Amino acid sequence: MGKIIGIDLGTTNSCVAVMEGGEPVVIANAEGMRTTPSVVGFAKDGERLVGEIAKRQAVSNPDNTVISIKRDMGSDRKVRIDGKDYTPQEISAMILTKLKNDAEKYLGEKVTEAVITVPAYFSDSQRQATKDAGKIAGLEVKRIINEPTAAALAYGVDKDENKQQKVLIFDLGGGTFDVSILELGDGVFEVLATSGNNRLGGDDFDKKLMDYIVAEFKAKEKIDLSSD
Amino acid sequence: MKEKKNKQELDKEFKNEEVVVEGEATLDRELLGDDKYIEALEEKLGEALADAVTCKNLTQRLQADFDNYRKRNQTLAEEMKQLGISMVVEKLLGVLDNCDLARKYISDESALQGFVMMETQILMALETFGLKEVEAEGLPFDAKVMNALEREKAEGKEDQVLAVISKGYTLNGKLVRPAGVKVGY
Repeated sequence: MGKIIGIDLGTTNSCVAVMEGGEPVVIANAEGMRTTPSVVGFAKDGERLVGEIAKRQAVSNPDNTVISIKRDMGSDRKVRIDGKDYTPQEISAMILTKLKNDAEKYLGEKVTEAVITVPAYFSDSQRQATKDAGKIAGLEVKRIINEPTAAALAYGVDKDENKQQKVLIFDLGGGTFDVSILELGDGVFEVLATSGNNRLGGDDFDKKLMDYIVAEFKAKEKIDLSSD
Repeated sequence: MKEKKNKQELDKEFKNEEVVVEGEATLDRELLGDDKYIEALEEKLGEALADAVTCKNLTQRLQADFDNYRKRNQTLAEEMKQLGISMVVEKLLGVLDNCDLARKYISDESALQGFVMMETQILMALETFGLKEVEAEGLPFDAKVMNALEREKAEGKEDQVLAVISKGYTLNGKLVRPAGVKVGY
């Protein structure tokens, strides 16, 4: 009986985990990182690059690098690389394949089933597109779970079965920021409201901090660190 | 003598178990009648079989978890040693970076000489643990060990590293940090 992996297919970064001894364990990728950039690159020699390596070559090969494909899930938009059109599902499948391969390497066995999380505001077509991406990657998607629901489950808020409660979930990702209010009763989660900004995330915080430090240092020391 | 006593105790426990299953009512054939007795037994058998399937699944899962754990543990000691080294080395890379940056601001010739000697000493000490600088300058861009930070129009030098902006390092063949480079296009 194979293991089912859990995948957070994010806009900026993705993550894969597995249950071991009743606890979720995040699987490090081949590069030793616990998150994998959701980036796909097509090298000049035709090699397909996914994750950290794809991100590293993004600046030198911007025309053949796809970032933030999650924003296009469920749409008709296609990405043209070297004269070939790719659907968002196909690009996402490349990311999922990389996560699947890393999980297989860690577990030492084939992985064919997965649970994938999506934003609570995802429409049916966006959810279906995510399922299709899983299928292309050779994964049977057992469930599509709302990201705030997965977060609530991870914090064990469902443990107290008798308690009817409302939970507020802040999800600050690399490129998106979502806030959801969930109601939990009888072991069922209901998304009461969800909102956010899909162009604001941790990367923007990093950039603001960096710009501030560079400006302060320049004002005090007359040295421009931005070129270092 | 002791063995005999233990056997007697076990027999007694076994007999007790036969009579009353812990926390459950005893099935009395005479009281229930044959049909109800068989029905009750069948129900109990069904429950026991379902329990057995649950336990079997659980055992298989735990066995698989344990096998994976054991396999990973076999290489864990060596990995932990390497991890310890890499944690220290990674912290010291920041010192090497700052040495690189500070060097250009030292104008005094003899101070610079001493500074370079110390820098070399740190680098040599780290090299004994397997640290190696990533060669990048003038080579074709390789995303496996390099990180493209900038690109610049350079005829005839497409996809070549024009300059190394931040040094990259490997530790015993494993990439610790990619070299930050400027690439021609």
